[in-house]
Amino acid sequence: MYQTIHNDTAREAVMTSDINIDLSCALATLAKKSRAVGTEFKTRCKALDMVAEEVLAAPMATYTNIPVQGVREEVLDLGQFTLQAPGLVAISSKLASVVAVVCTLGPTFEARVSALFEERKYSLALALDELGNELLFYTARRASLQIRKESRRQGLSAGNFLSPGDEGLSLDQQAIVVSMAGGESHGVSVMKLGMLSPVKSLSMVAGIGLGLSAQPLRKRCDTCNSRERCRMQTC
Amino acid sequence: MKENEKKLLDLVADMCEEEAVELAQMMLDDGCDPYRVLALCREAMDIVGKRFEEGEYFLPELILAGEMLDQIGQLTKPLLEESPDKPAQKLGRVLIGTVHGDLHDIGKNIVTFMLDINGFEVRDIGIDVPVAKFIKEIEEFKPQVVALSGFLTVAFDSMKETIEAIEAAGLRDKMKIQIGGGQIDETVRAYTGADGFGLTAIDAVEFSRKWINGACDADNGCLQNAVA
Repeated sequence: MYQTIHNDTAREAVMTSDINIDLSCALATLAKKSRAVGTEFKTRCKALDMVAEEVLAAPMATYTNIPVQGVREEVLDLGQFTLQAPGLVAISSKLASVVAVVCTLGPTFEARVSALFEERKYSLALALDELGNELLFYTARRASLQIRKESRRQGLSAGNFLSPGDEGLSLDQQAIVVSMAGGESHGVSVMKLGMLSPVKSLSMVAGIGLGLSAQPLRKRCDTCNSRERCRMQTC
Repeated sequence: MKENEKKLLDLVADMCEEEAVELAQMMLDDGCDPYRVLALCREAMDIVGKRFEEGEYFLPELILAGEMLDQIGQLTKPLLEESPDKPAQKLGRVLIGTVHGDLHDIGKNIVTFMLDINGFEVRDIGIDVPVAKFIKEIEEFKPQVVALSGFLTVAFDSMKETIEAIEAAGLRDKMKIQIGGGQIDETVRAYTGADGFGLTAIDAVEFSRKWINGACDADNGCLQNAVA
């Protein structure tokens, strides 16, 4: 059954924004947060210096806020897009709009990591790759904070951010989410199995509306399949 | 075991990179058999592997140990009794690649490294490898083990497709196939038709070692049960 969402609460129509992350600020933050010790710490410092000196990353996020027109079963009608998102449909009674986000570090980073593997500098390659993941999550956090701030400005709130592949949003929705966010115009494309290119990219969506709340980031560990083997969990 | 030998073993196992390489150089300069030095490093790697499985060490330690072995291996190379006509003996041939549709390569690269330093001849054919390329490379390289890597759950279908193609090409009986990379378990192994699966680079080494030694039969190909 199709349910029209009366968007009295939608303050704005479709809106797109970009966030460019200051790389040196990001690296300074990540340098302070390290739990590495000994040789691992030295390798991490080398990786940090490498990112800064060679400008291996151009972290940025782009997002689009799209009002919800209606809901049918597990599908949200977003006008130009339809998104199959059971995780968002579950909160559709509070939903005014959906924000779609794409974050990326650009293609240079992964090329450098691959080159280090070819040079048999495995520890440095691994440290650099791990740093890339942290930088990407840092970018995603900055984007989510910006979105929450803007929601509050409108008297609304943002719910949990879901990435394609998370419970409530299937991986086969990846192309739609990237399209919604305008990822292609920022060099992010979707491979045939749903993987993003450049590899150091991610996409996510969140509901915007009245009375939505978000789970603390650390609680996401509770549902992660890798939690038992994760050294971030056990350190 | 001599004092220096015990010390080298402990330094490698305890992640003391500079001291380990320095001691290895000193031992070689003093006339220690280079094969003995390599054997000690491999023994240390076994200790590192055990600590990794017990959760004391993680991936960075595993890689660092491998790099130490690599560095010490470079020191022994000029001293080893080999010639271009008689290359260093390898344990066996392993072909590895990330299946088509998947671009993840970190796990594959780590497995490649671990297999290499543990004495295997490894050919890494890259990422997003089409089925036809796997067949071509298998026919050319004639591996005893093929390792399929894939991180995405949707890559399981690519693994299945690749293994079916290997079978259709009449090559299946000539090798063992192992899979690894993401949320892989016995169900996925059975679905894809692989002989075994691994959750870590150590598993990949152990599988390859067992199969090439002929100690592993098709029904008991899963190392995970043994590790657990």
